[in-house]
Amino acid sequence: MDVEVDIFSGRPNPRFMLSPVLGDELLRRIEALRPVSEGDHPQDGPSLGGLGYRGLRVHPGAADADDPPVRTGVGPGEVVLAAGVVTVTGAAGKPGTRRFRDPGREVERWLFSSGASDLEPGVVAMVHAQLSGH
Amino acid sequence: MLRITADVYSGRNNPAADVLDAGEARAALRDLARDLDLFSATEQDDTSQGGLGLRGFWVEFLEDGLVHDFDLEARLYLPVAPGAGAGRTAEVAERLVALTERGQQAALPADAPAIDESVRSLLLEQLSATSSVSVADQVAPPQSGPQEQEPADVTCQIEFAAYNPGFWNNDATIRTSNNCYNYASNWRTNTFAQPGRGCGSMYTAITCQEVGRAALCDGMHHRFDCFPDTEKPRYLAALAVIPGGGDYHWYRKMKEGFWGHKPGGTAVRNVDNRGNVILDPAQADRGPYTIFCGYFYGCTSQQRRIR
Repeated sequence: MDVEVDIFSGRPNPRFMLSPVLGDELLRRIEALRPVSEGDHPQDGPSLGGLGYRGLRVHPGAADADDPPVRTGVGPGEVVLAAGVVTVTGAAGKPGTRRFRDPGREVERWLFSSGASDLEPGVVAMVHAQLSGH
Repeated sequence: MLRITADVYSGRNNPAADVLDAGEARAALRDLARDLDLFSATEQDDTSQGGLGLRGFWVEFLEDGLVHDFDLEARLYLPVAPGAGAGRTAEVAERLVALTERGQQAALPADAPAIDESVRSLLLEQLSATSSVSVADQVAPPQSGPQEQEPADVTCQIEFAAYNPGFWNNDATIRTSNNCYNYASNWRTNTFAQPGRGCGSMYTAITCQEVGRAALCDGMHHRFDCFPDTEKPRYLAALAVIPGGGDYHWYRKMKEGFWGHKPGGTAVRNVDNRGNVILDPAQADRGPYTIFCGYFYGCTSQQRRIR
């Protein structure tokens, strides 16, 4: 899985790859979250959009389309982690959009830490500053 | 061969012209081929792009040969809306209007008007009215950056386009493939344009000086270094960077008086990070882009150069 750090405005966003093992772990953590119910408006951080760190976007890699994780059944589909909410779109076996609460942005923090070593120090510092400021 | 219909009237049938010469029709399609991404197969549903006055153009094929040869839908629509009239869309629309000069009245019912000289004038007038207003830029902004040097008694004519976020936001590919520099230039390349890449000298560091140099290389000018009328539209843009060189960000002033901007692949907005409408980017909450570099003018040559 390819993870995009949605942070820049002019430059393309930095990205890192998740190994299949970590990808499976991500999906397991997401499925363990409580779904957002109708009328529930979780907002655990700044609004989406704007300048600076906005969240993480997970794009399924080509391999995932043929070999979706079996345990969770989430499979391929874009995942967005931002502002305390995880949004899964277009997952195999579970079409449509599903949203989950991510209290304290814990899954988002875990995912970012999984790839931080592949990123520029300045990016890591910016993201940490905004996640800790939450 | 081709029927061009101007979607402009409300009560009357829209005017149309048929281009019956096969050679003319093929030449026109070859010319339009690079801009086919501006067309859609159906009229836009976005109500913000409807309304009175020129809304767009239909291009219809009267026989199947061209459809097959150019792999097209039988009927295409070019939407023309406030703000979207600037840049490529306006240029394509003007080419369609010019094409009607070589056509003849469409074989439609007797009450369907022809696209004659008076209609062409109306259409061209509508195109320029939808795109921008020209103003005299003579009020210097607050001194807020080391690059700013305002020559005395200089007045430059510039243009402000109407704020049209839908043009950038409604289609996911357009939204994610164009960045702040595209927006500030009011030119969609779908390449996440980078300052200097178009002129062959992309920035090598993210500083006010270096990103500014790259933008000047693409064809921008510092504010108050005027462009001639031949370079219309001439937009007012502003540049900011993150200390330490992380990234840069551009803004563009809109006809409505505020500034718009596009944070990377996210939606165009006219508010800052505190949710306040941006009246001056030098004073706005720019998040981590705390170094304000100054103001620039874009122009039509610069639009066509950016990549």
